[in-house]
Parts: sequence; structure tokens; C-alpha cells
Amino acid sequence: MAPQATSIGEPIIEIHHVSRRYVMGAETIHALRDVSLTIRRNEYVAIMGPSGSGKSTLMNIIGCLDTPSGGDYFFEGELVSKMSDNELAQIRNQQIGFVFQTFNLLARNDAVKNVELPLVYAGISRQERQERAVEALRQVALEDRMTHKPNELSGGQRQRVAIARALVTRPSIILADEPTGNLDTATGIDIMRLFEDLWRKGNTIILVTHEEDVARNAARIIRVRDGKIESDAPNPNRIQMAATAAPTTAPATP
Amino acid sequence: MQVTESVRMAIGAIRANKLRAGLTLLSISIGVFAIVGVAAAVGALTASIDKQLESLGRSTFIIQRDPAFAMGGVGDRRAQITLRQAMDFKNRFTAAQEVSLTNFIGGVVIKFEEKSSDPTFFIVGGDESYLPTNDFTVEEGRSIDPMDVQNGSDVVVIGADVANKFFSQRSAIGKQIKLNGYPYTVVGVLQSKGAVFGQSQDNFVLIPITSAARRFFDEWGSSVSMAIRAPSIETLEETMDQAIGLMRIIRRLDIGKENDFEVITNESLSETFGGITKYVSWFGAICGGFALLAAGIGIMNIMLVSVKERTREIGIRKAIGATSGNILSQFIIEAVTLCQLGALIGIGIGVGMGLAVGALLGIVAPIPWGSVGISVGICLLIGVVFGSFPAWKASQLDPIEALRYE
Repeated sequence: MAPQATSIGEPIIEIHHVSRRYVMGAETIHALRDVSLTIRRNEYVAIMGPSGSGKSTLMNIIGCLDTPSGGDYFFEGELVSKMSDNELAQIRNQQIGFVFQTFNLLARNDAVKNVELPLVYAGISRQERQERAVEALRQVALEDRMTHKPNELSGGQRQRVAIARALVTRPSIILADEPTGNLDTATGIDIMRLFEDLWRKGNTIILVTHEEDVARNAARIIRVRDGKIESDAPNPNRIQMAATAAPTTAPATP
Repeated sequence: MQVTESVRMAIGAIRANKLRAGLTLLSISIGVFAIVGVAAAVGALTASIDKQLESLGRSTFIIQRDPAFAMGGVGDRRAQITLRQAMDFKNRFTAAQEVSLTNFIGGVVIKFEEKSSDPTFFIVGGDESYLPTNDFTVEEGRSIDPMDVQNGSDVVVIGADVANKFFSQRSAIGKQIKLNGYPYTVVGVLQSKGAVFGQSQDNFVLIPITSAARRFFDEWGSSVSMAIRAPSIETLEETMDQAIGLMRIIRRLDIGKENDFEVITNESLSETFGGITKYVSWFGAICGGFALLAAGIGIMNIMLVSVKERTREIGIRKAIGATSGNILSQFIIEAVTLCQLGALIGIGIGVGMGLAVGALLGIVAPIPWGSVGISVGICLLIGVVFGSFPAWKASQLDPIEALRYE
């Protein structure tokens, strides 16, 4: 087994025989076929696969942006595959922290306002929102960029804001879709260190990527191809990685 | 999510597209301005006229040949009310506390020594009560008195404009001026009352009506108007009935024939004028209504563009937990906020115009709260109605598709 910062906990995500079909005209596309997997608290999982493999569909279903055509999906023990749109929105809001390849920040809002946004939909008071947003930005070492707008930040800083936004609701999982895809190598490594750090602090991280280098950071790698799970195994390189990376991981600074 | 938060977001979105939002605001503002501006201007005008009518006094009524406001042409020409008839009336009518006779002659040329005026002045033929009734104060000398009226003396009290034109540095009292060639002796000078609507109130001279009749009536075909004050408001109706009866006798009207003169009270003037202003206000409201309808379609258009442009933003919001309801209300509130900002500007300009008209008329114009309320209501409705479809489209976007949108 891969080393853990804290011990692996109870299951958060339980996917049983899930399939997803899209009807496009006369054709039916099977994006996912009979996929089953379980992810537990404080795991660090990479979902890998080439484009068209179904990994994005799997990510959308895990992230409650999409619902399966068949099978059951339990999130924290609750059956989400039959939930209404509003209930899904609530899960996305409170249980899942999204990090996207293109950051997806609101251009008009400064860093604090961007980080506050999920709390707005959670109905949290203005003052508490602000306090929590500042705290989250501090966690990603952006306390000196609070009032900067996205276009006043570097790519790495933008992704840090996005990560702070994902953290601010204290979600059950952080779901990162190609988080380093738009960053140069050095900044990408920086961001991966941040994920490492968050994982060590007890967060559950799911990474979706097509890059081996990125996936190697995770403790468990799930490979998807043609809508099926091809392999699902602990990362053999992880022991060595963690041993060498550990001394330098602590608070990554920009 | 609270409404205040949505309004804050809406203002942010509007500020991000200042020009576009500005143009949309403009169309709303114009519609609201048409409603509020016309109402405010009419309000100012009405207030001003009411104020002028007040000087007439509530227990006073006027008998004159023609109606105060002629809608369309006056049908058959009525015979003038001659000074003889008016004097006859004044002597015989004992029910009144006071009867004051007035007559206007326009286009008068005034001459003093070698200096001559353009024919822009007018003569008021009146009696001793004309000045107090019309709120004029004598600055120098005296007013005309009952003896002047009885004797038909050729004396004149001159308005401030006349005094300024001919006697800027010296006293006018005792000087002789010529009115259309007839010599009159100046006995008094009036204080200036200023201008209303750019129209001076001081460009006249007052002479005894008896003198006016002797000199000018035949030539001008003038008709006398009589201001009659009843002893009290309670006896106004009764006094009016008696006055009409006496007037019919003097005018030798057979039973069954209609009055060939008008009886005007403060109230009847207000009513007549109110009738006219009501049409004007409605006209403004209807024009404004159509403008707002057009603006509403503009709002819908702009919101549809905005939804399309912000597809990705909608995707982000949905991904991090916004429900369809959140998105729906956000865009409706944005449309309503846009409309209300436009309304605010329109109301501001409209009320401003009312105050400006009021200032021209020398009064403080009332704010037309009714029209303001209606405008705010209509704009709310327009925001909701025309914002709903774009907002609904936004709320139905699939978050996955929306996030992929470039």
C-alpha cells in the first residue's frame, strides 16, 4: 500500500456498475460501461486516460455535474444517481471542490470574491464568507494577492485562487481536472506540491489527467479506456517519490 | 441566496458592460422621463395656475364675454360687455361686497417727450381695486382712486418696465406720457413682479376704466370683465345666481335664451384647466408606455446577448453550487436592476424638468409621486417580463456544456 499522511478512512465515493450513454441522433454512444470503484477519505487518486476514454464523463459523474444512465452512485453513503438537479447543486456546492484546467475564475471579481462565491450559494453571511475566503487564500500562500483580479495574477496564482475556492467550503473531495494543463512545468510542479500538502493535511484528492508525470504524484492510479476501467492500482513509484519530496513539500511558496 | 447579493452581482455585471448597459438605460430613461417629465411639468403649471387663481380669492367670480380657455373656435361672436352695461351692473348689484371692472387693450405705443416705444405694451383699464386684487404694490406715488374712475381722469400708474424705459434715473411722478397719442399724467409707479415664462408682468400701464372707455373702447371693440366678490364663500352660489339674473336683464336676454356671457369661478377654472392637463398627462404616459415597451424588448435583446456571452460564467456558477433557481433569479434581478437604474435616471431628469418649469413660473413644483410610483412599477414589470426568458434560458444551461463553451 502507498504511504498515507493520515490513515485511509471510510468510503466517500462508491460507484456500482455505473454506465453512461449519450444519444446523438440515431447513434448511442457508450461513454462509460459498467464502471465500479470506491474512493475513501484521504485518498490521493489519479484518473488517467486518453481523450475519448470516458475519463471526463467519469469525472462529471463523480463531480455530480452529470448523472449515470445506469448503476448506483453513492456519495458519503447517499444515493446521488437519483437526485434532483437542486440536490446535485447542493452536493457540488458543499461536498465537492472543483479545480479546472482553465482555472474558471470570474474575471470581474478579485481573488477574495472568487473564493467567496461557493459560500454565497451556501447562504453563508457576508462576514463569515470573507473570513473563510481569506483563510483559504492563506492556505495557498496568496495572502498578499487578495484584492487582485485574475488578469493581475500569473497562471500559477490563478490556479491557487481556484484551489482556495475549492477548499473554502471544506469539501469531502477536491476534484482537479488537468490542474497543470495550462501551466509551465515549474509552475505545474509548484501546484502539484500544493496538492501534496493538502493531501498530507487530510484532504481527499482526485486528479483527472492524461499526463503520466502528473498522475505519478497520486498514490493510486485508475486507468480508463473505452469507457471501462483498465487498471486500478496503488502507485508503485509513490514510496520513493514521497520519501524524496517530503522535506521540500511543506508550505509551497510562490 | 439573498436578493441583496444578487443586486450586487447585477451591478457588477452592468459595470462590466458600461456602454451597452448605458444605452439600454437610456431607452428606459427616455420612457420614464416622458411619463414623469410631462407629469412634473403639468404639475408645475397646475400649481402655478392654482396660485394665480388663489389671488382671485375663493369667494370671487368673474363675468366676461368669452370663456377662459377656448377649446376650438368660439362659435357666434357675442356682443361686447360695454362699460355702460358694466357700470349699470355695478350700480344695481347690491348683493356683492365688491365689483371690480377691468379691460385690456394690447399693442399700445407709449411716448414720452421725444422717446417712443414699440407697440408691445398694454393698457389695463381698471378701478381702485385692480392693483390689490392682482398683487401689485405701488412703489412711488399713488394708485388710481374712485374719484379718478368716476371722473374718467386721464391719469396713469405705470408698470416697472415702462418706468425703466422712460424714467430710468428720475422720478416719473407728474410727468405727461402719451398712450397711442393721448396724453396721460403719471401718478404712480409699480414695483416689479418679474417675469413668468420669460413673459414680463410689468409691461403695462393702468388707467381708469372710464378713461379707457372714452379713449379706446370704440376703436378697439373692447369688452369689460367684472370681478365680483361675494360677501362670503357660503353665499357665493347665491350671489352668482343673482348676478346672472341681473346680467340677463341688462343684456336684455329673453327667457329661454342662453347666457351670452361666461361666469368663471376659481373652481371652474381649475376644473377646465385640470381637464386639459389630464389629457396632456395621459398623452405623456402613453408615449412613455410605448417607449418603455420598446425599451423592454431592448432589455430582452441585451440580456440574451449577455447570457450567451456569459455561458461560461453560468457554467462556473453551476459547477460550484448555483441552482437553476439561483441563475434564474440572478438574471431576472439583473434585468430589473437595469430597468430600475434607468427609471432612477428618468425620474431624476423628469423631476428636474418639473422643478425647472416651476422655477420659471416662480413656484416650487410638486414632485409627481403618482407618476414616479407608476414608473417604478412599470419598470419592475418590464424587467421581470422581458428578463424572464433570457434568465430562463440561462438557468437551463447544462453545466458541462457551459463550462466547455469558448
